[in-house]
Amino acid sequence: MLAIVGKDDFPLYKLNIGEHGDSDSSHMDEFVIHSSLDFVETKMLKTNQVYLKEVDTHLSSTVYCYLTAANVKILLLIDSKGDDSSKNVFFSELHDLYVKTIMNPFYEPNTKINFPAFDSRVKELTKKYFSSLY
Amino acid sequence: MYAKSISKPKPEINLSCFSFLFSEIFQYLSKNDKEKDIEQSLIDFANPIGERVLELAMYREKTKGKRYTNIVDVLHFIRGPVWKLLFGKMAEDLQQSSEDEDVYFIKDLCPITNKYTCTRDSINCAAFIAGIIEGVLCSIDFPAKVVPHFAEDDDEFTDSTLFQIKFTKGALEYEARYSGDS
Repeated sequence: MLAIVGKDDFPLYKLNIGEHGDSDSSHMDEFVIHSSLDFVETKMLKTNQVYLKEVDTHLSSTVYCYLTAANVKILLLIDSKGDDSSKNVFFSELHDLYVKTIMNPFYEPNTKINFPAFDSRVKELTKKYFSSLY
Repeated sequence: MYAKSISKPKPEINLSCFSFLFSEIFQYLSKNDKEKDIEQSLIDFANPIGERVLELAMYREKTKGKRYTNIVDVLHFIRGPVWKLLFGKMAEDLQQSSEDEDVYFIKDLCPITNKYTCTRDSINCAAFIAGIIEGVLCSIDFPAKVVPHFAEDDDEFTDSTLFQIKFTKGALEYEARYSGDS
């Protein structure tokens, strides 16, 4: 599962990754992601990197986190360990999309991202980087 | 929209175009918020622009992959890259107040908002720029209050403006938490 969390932990966007996106586990995934936010807060004070790598684990899945300039958190919960550098590239491409969204004058910062174009681009990205899940 | 690249700086926008829009903004705000101070309305209006500017400027920065964790770095970032992105040049000066530790000044000799506006009329239109700075600082989690002042010591540049940046207690604590842990 992929989630973008804005200021004051307000959820901006979420996406279930993989074929069985809407199964029962999606509630659990959401719960895990939101509970990892505390770890993100602790970890982001210790480093000046944008990519925080692993922040939390739950059973077999891991939460990864990436921060944008305004400390908007991009969180990814995924089963496979996989290659770390490819995740870094994935996050920076997603960051790219996020910056483009925020430059849209019709989008108010820190509100839900509700654009079909954004949605389909993100789906394309996840398919490209996490093809094993599809 | 998503297909275009954002890493290259866009061509410049006409000054006349900007001035026209800005005058409309000014008139709109003065009609709508009669009870509010016009400078404050300008600051509030420009606040959301700050967040966008921050994201874009950071994205284009060469130090990609890093975040700013202390106040002075952020201020240098505003004086340099942010100012360049907005106005095509660096701000003239950045200094810390000699009296208060949490007060800083950024000086600009001729803010673009004051180019065609009647200055010395107690209203400083550079409040708009102050609002952008405030937006940048607030979204990077160093909340501050930015107030524009006319710089009085300059006779040559009558529009010259000092942006007084006063950080809140929260911002200082936040910075301390960063440095304490690392």
